[in-house]
Amino acid sequence: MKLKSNFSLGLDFKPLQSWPETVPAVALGSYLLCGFSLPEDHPVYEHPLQNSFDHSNVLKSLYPQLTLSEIARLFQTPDFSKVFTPEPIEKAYGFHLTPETQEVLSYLPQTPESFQTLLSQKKWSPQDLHPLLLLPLSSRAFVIEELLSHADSKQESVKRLELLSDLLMMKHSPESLSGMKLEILHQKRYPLTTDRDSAQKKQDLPWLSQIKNQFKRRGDKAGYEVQFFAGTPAELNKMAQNLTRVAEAWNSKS
Amino acid sequence: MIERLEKIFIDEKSLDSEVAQRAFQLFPRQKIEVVKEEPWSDIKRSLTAEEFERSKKNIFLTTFNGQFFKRCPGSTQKKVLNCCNYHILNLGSQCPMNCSYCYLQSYLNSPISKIYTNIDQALSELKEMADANSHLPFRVGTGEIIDSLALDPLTLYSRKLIEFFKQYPKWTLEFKTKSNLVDQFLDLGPATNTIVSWSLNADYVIQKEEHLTASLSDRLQAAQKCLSSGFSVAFHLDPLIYHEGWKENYADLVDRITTQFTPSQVNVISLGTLRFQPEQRFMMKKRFGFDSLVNQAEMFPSEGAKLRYDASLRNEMFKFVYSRFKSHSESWRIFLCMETPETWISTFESQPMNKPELKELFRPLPTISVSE
Repeated sequence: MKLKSNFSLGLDFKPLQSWPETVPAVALGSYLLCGFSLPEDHPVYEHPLQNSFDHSNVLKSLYPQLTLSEIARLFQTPDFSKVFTPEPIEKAYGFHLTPETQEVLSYLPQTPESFQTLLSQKKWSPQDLHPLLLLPLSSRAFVIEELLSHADSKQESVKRLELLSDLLMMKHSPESLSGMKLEILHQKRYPLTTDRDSAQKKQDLPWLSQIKNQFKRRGDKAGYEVQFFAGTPAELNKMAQNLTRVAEAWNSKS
Repeated sequence: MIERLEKIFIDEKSLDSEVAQRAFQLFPRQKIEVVKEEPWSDIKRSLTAEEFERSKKNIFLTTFNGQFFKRCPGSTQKKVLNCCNYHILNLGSQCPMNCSYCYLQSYLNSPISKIYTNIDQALSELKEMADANSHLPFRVGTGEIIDSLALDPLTLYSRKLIEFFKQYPKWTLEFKTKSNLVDQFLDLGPATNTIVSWSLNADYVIQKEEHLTASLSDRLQAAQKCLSSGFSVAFHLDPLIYHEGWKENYADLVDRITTQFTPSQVNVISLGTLRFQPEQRFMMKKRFGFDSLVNQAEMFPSEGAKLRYDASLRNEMFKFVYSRFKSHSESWRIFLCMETPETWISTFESQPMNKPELKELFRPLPTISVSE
């Protein structure tokens, strides 16, 4: 065991989980792999650093899971290439080795820390970020700010990113998109379908008041979700007759 | 078309093939390189936009060791043909043309265009199938992952295939193309069991989306040449693409077809609307931007996981084009390509098997086995 002060901090990728104070940190040769923020006199176990050896398994043992942002930061550390090569690490953490992934990984450390944290918390994948890469750098900052300023779920965030990316590429100005609800962005991106759906929604159909109905879009189809309760065969018959009338009226209007 | 190829790589094992010898006649020597291995073979993943572009300009002449003859995609059964009458003969992959919506963008992961030089092996595989089932009306197409004719001036495979199919009059060979390259086989006509088919679109869409393809006029003129030489022709109006003025533009397309051809001259007309795999959209946006109608399109997840237009818009487009044809003559044989039963019913008010003019095309054939 040696003290932490003897080791380089050149691999400090700011891991989200802090290393426990009660156990020694671990280094690969002279490069500290964990416990970066522990006191200088903290004990460190020195794992031998062998040339042309894949050390990704050591990293994986210390960090069974790493987020996209953490891996991106690790790749950007000054001593990374002295210890690791990217491919085994990408494989160890289940990323596809595509040039787009490489682009995401090299771009992410340049983004605000709060954005990196958001991606880590919501477990974004490199593919989720592809729409961001389509934009010029100047537009990316706006999109990132928008993603940070809405309390969206992951699914909503991913959707918002793609909608914003599309709309900016369709020459909408950032001002016209700033602070918009997801629904409004969707309407701007799908104006034709929005109009068609609204026209259909406004149709005056002869629904019985006991039949709850809601106009909905499901993928490439739009239509009515219907709900009713029938306590007797006679009631069920009444509902069925009404549904037939509604279908006829709907058919005549479409 | 072949002039656009920047480099022709010839597998040293294919040096003696007819295609390789023809390449030496057609291209300057500095464009040709004889290689031991497939170029860029270290790329074993989906292609980037730049790699995809490059793959269109470089070609590898090599042998194919797999099965050439396959059922059309969509079939999930292996080794057994529960026949929908359409089969595929793959004699190469990638296409020198550049349509914005091309499904190869999400389908291919080979970093170079390929032509398989061992066509004789493909024909002997086909012979085995044809000899065993010569009495059944199988349809075989060569334009699934490569345009059937765009590289034909180099391969001349059309000639071998036409001659081969003449021995099996019940079987049908279909070339599918967006080129006008037909002169190289016209002297082999008549051959009515060879259908030369064109993917057609409105002039406006061709100019905006079907880059490096032949113009509509050139495609229709090539179809006339084929008819005059005794070949059958078919047209695929696919993909119909929504845009401002689509009704006028597609009406014009239908009118041009119906004034230049009679229903009896056209084997069949298929209709399809824009559709693609969701994972393809990133590549399309990167390669063609938002001036492309395809990227502007309002697409939604549909059955089969593909993205499609809203179902009611699809119906409207199908009905419009269908009615336009039928207003000229009831005799046009029209079917929908890769569409759901719901769309068939809402467009035609029936399923294909209930339409007399389509019954033969969709009649299921007996199940047969393919040996591997």
